Amino acid sequence: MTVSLHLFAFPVNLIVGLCIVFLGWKFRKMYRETYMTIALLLFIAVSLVQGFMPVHIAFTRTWPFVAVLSVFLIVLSSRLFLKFSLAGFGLWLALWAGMLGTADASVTHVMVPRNEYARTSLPFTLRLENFKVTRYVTGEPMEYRAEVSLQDINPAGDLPSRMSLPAEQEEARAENRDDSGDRRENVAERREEAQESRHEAPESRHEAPGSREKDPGSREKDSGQRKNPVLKTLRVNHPVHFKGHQVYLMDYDAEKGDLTDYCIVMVTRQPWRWLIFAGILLLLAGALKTFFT
Amino acid sequence: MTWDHLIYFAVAAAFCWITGSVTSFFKGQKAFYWTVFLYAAGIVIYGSFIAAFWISLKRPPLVTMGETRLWYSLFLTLAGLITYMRWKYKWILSLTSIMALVFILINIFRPEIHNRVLMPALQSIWFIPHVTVYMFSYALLACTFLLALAGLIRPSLNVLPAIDKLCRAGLSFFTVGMLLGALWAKQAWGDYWSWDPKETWAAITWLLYVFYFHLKSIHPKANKYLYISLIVAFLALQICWYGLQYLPSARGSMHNYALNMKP
Repeated sequence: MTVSLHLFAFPVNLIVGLCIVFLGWKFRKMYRETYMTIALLLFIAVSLVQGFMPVHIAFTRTWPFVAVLSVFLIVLSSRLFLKFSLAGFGLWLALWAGMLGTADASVTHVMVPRNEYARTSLPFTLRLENFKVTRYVTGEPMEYRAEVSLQDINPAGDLPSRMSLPAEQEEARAENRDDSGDRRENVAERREEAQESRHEAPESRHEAPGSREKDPGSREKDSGQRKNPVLKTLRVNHPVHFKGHQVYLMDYDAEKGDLTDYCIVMVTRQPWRWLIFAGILLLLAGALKTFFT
Repeated sequence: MTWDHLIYFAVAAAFCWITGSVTSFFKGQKAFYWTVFLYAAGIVIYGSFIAAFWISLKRPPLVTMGETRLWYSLFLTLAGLITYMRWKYKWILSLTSIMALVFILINIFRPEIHNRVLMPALQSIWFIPHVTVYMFSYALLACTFLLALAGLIRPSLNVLPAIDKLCRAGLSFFTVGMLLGALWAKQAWGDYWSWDPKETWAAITWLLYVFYFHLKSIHPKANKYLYISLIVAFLALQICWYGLQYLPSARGSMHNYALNMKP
């Protein structure tokens, strides 16, 4: 019953979104308040189902929920074409972009080790440089500060070699171990990585894990092209933005505290986030307008 | 300035707030000005404690449970005063005074919360606005629930105009609280909305209040159904507010800060 999100990756989701607008426009003359009543009740009903279901079932990603949300969006857009309201449009935009943007969004959990760069399917990699837990006098944690260096691994022109098969990568890695003294490149003894993707973006789908290891020739070539790593500090509630991704600090080895060997970060990509944000701001403005008029 | 001084400021502020709430029931322009003056004086007295406390702590008082409770009372009374000045609802000031005093009394009688620290996840500029705006909307929506019950029991009472104004303000604040939460969630959890149980129930509650306004616009005279829709919406609000912890489906909620001690 779960919607196969990759089928709706850009531009399919945009086409679906435009269909919603088109249907809303086409049926605007047929709009009756009764349809809005039905759409609202349906939306409440599916939200209740989600409310009573355990979190892990993710009912909001199944066809019944998406169908009801689409119907609601069509009815709401019909209504907006007839009678515009700021709050209504904000709600519509936030829901529309939120629903469609899910197909292009990705969430990747990466275990970031201290001594080497993490192996990721992302266009960049991370290494933990320093971890600091500040505590209250009572001993409870007050702040976690993880200093990480972020390294671009997607220099121009190396696309074909990045598409290499896992077997070839193993070879490349073996050679790597022989000749490379560079710690950054020495990825042989890699820690088990915590990489679990809820849903991967179509772009990152093409990248096999560990794709940054290449044959030695091209490796030497691109270490020249490689930019210096960027040093950033991750804190809870303070994500870092890097190359269109947002990096969140999620976990660390609590027993080792400051000496933790790794931290776990969540990397999200949400290309539609600005539309959702605009929708939220409009709904916020609409709510304040309702209050003051 | 320490916690020990809170009681003196609290007594003075409570005196102003309570007399202000009483004068708000008197008729006439003069009573209105007195109410605004007294209530604002209470806010200034109480606010000056927070300011002095801030200066003597040499950091914003936003770190412990006790310190966040200080702000709830300040913003509740401020929101109450604005609503009173804007619409002249009589009983709104009594209501916000009671809620503000409850939070102050908690701080006075349970000093152990003064040092109960906030975990990193809650240390955000969004925390206090998110919570106080919600508290205020809960207070307004609780009024609409009581009025709806009164209207249902005694149909001769014409409570709908009052309900309508209160519910409009309550839903506005609820929307603001929910959206501040969404903006915070993007910073803390990576997405504006992830259908966490608390979020789901907030959405259900919000939709039910929207449904009330929708019903009101198409059937303005269907009093009984309007009252019932408000009562149902308020029941959903109870689940959203505190009922979630009794709901098995909400075990894994990210909003459960008692259990979720990870960063």
